[in-house]
Amino acid sequence: MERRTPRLVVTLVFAGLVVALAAALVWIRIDLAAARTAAEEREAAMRAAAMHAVSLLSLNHKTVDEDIRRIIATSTGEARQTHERHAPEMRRAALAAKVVQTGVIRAVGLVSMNAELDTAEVLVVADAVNRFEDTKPRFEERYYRWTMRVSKVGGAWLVSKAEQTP
Amino acid sequence: MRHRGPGEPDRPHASGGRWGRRDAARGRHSRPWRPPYADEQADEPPSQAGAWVPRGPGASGPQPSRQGPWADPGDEAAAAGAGGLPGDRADDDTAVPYPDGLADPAPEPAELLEINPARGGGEAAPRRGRRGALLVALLAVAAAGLAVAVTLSYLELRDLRRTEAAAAEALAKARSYAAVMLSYDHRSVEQDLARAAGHATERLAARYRRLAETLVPEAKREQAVQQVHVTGAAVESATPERVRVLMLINRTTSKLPPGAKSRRSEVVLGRVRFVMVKGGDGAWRVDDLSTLLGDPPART
Repeated sequence: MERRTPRLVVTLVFAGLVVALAAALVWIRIDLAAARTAAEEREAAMRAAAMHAVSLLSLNHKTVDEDIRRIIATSTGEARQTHERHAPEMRRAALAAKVVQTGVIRAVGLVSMNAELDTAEVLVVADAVNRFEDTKPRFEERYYRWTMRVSKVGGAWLVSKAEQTP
Repeated sequence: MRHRGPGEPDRPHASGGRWGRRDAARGRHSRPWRPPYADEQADEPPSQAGAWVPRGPGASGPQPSRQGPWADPGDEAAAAGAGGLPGDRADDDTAVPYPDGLADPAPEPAELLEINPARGGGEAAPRRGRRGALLVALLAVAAAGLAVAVTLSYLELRDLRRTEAAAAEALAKARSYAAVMLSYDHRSVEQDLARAAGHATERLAARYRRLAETLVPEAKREQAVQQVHVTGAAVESATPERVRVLMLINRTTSKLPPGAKSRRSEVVLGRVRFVMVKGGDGAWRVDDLSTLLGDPPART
C-alpha cells in the first residue's frame, strides 16, 4: 500500500498532465490552422493578382483570342465584365497594329485582406515592352502600377477589379 | 488405494481429484488441507502433476517414501507415521532415504503451501505493479509526445502571429518613413539626408552619406525641392524580423537650374521597395531601398 499510493499519485498526475496537454494542443492547433489558412490565403490572393497581371501583359496578335480568353478566365465580377466588353476592341487593335506585348512583374504586395478571407487588395508593379509589327517595327515601354481587388469565388481567387493607380 | 504400476500412465489431476479422494478416505475433513490453488493445480502440466503420483514397486526413478502425505490413507504404517499431514513429512523422509542418493524430485506439499500463495496473491501483486508501472510509462510517453507537439505547434503559431504583427508594423513604419527618406529641400538638404539616415540601418546610412556627396551640391545648384507622396503600400513578404514593403509613390520635383527664368516641376509616378528590419531595440529601420527599375523586358 505504501508503494501503491505514490504510484497512484504519479499516475493521476501524468493522467492530468496528458489531459491538460491534449486540451492545450487542440486549442493551439485550432488557432494554428486558422493562422495557416490566413497565410495561405494571402499568398493565394497575391498569386492570383500576379497571374492576372501576367495575362494582361502577355498579348500577341497571333494568339490574341487565346490571350483574351486567359485574361477573362483569371477575372470575375466587374473586371470580367470590363474585359468582356472591351474584348472585341482589344482584338481589333492587336490585329491591326500587330502588337506583341511582353511584360515582367516587378513586385506584388498585399495591402489588406478581409476577416472572412475572401477578398483582398493587392498592388502589382510591372513593366512591359510593346512591339508593333504593322509597319516599321517599333517599341514602346510601359510601366504599370495596378491596384487589384481579388475575390475568392468557388474556391478560386480571381481578380474582381483592376485599375491603374494614379 | 492402488498404487500405479510400472508403465501405468499418470491419471490427470482434477479438481478435488487425488487430494480430495485421500481426504475423503481419511474421513477427517471433507477437504481438510486442500490448498486454495487446487483448481490451478489441475491445470498444471502433466510433468509437474506427475511428480505427485506415487510409484509402485519396480517403478524406475526415485521412489517416494510410502510414509507421507501421499501414502495410502488405508495403510496403517502411513497413518501411524504422519497421519497424512504435510507438516509431518520431514521425519518420514529422514527415516526412509531415497536409494542411490538421488534428490527427491517431488515437491513437498509444504513447499507448495509456501509457493502457491505467492502464485495466487503474491504474483498478482507484482502483476498489478507491472501494469501500474506500464500505465505510468505510457502516460509519461504520451505526455512527452504531447508536450513536444504543443511546443512545436505553439512555436509555429507564435511565428505566424509575430509575422503578421511584423508585417503590419513595418508597413506603417515604411509608409511614414518614405516621405522623410525620399524628400528634401535644397535649403535643408544636409539635415534632410541626416534625418533620413536616422531611419536607416548603418548599411543604408552609409549609402546616404555617399549620396550626400553628390546630391547636396546638385540640389543647391538647381535649388531643387523634392516631395514624395505615398499613394499605396503593401507587404511583399514578411518574417518576424524582416519585411519587404512595396510602395507606390508620386514624386514631385521642382528645380530652378542656373540660367533658367522659372522653376520647372515634374511629377513622376514611381514605385519603391523598402526592406525593413527590426533592430535589437525593437525599432524598425530601413535596411535597403530600391526603385524597382530593373532591365526592361527584352526587345526581340
